[in-house]
Amino acid sequence: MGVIFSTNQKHALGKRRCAFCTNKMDYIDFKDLKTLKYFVDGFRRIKPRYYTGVCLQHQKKLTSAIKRAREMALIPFVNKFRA
Amino acid sequence: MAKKTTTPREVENSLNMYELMLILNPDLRDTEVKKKLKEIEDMLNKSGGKITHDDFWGKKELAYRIKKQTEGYYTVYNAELPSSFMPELKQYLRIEKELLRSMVIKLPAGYTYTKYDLTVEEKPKREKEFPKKNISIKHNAPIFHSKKKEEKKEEKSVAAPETKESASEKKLELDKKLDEILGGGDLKL
Repeated sequence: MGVIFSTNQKHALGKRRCAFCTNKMDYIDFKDLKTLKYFVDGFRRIKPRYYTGVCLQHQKKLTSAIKRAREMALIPFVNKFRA
Repeated sequence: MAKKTTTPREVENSLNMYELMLILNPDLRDTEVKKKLKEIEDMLNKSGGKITHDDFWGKKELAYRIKKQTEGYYTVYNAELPSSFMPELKQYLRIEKELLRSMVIKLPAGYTYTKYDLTVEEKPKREKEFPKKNISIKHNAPIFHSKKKEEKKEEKSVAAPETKESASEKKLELDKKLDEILGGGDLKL
């Protein structure tokens, strides 16, 4: 896909660009687990915008996609141990 | 208060793109699974819509247990359906016995079905290597005593026999003197 995402980043203050805006993704598919895993921590909780640098519009679409994937048992709601 | 008379609203009937995702019971056999899928497809075709894409994923592991099952048959349908058909569809999916989960989503315009790779690679665990220290054990020296304690013990052991010896020596000297005095001989004072 050639998508740019940030990894190993403590917070995104320096980078003021949303990852979805640069790649021009309007619709975030809930089946697309490879992009969703970057916005979720070891316990499978959703990361706040402060750490990932996503804009508000895309963050709302992201959360709805993650919640749909959780409902269809593609991602667990909670992991007991940090993986 | 005048009563409000409500007239039934005229609902606009429009064709929209919908996505249907289903999880079926894993205890079914292959023939029974195909029967179920045909029934669902017939149900969708009855309404007057088209099925554009259908994808059968097969058995997949679930992220958590649903009705005490750990696996399930996944299917995805992309269909163009009229909006007035939705209540019937949802009623049918609610009643169906062999369904574990179902979801109906309205798709945005200009969406084409894409197949994604569902295997997520796990990060390899880092094994920490601790540097090994060369510990040389001296078998002659005692291990659990420190140096100060050893010195104290030596002093005590050396000091104790001296007192005993001095006491015994003193006794002998006194006995000799008494013998001299009592035994005989001239007193030398």
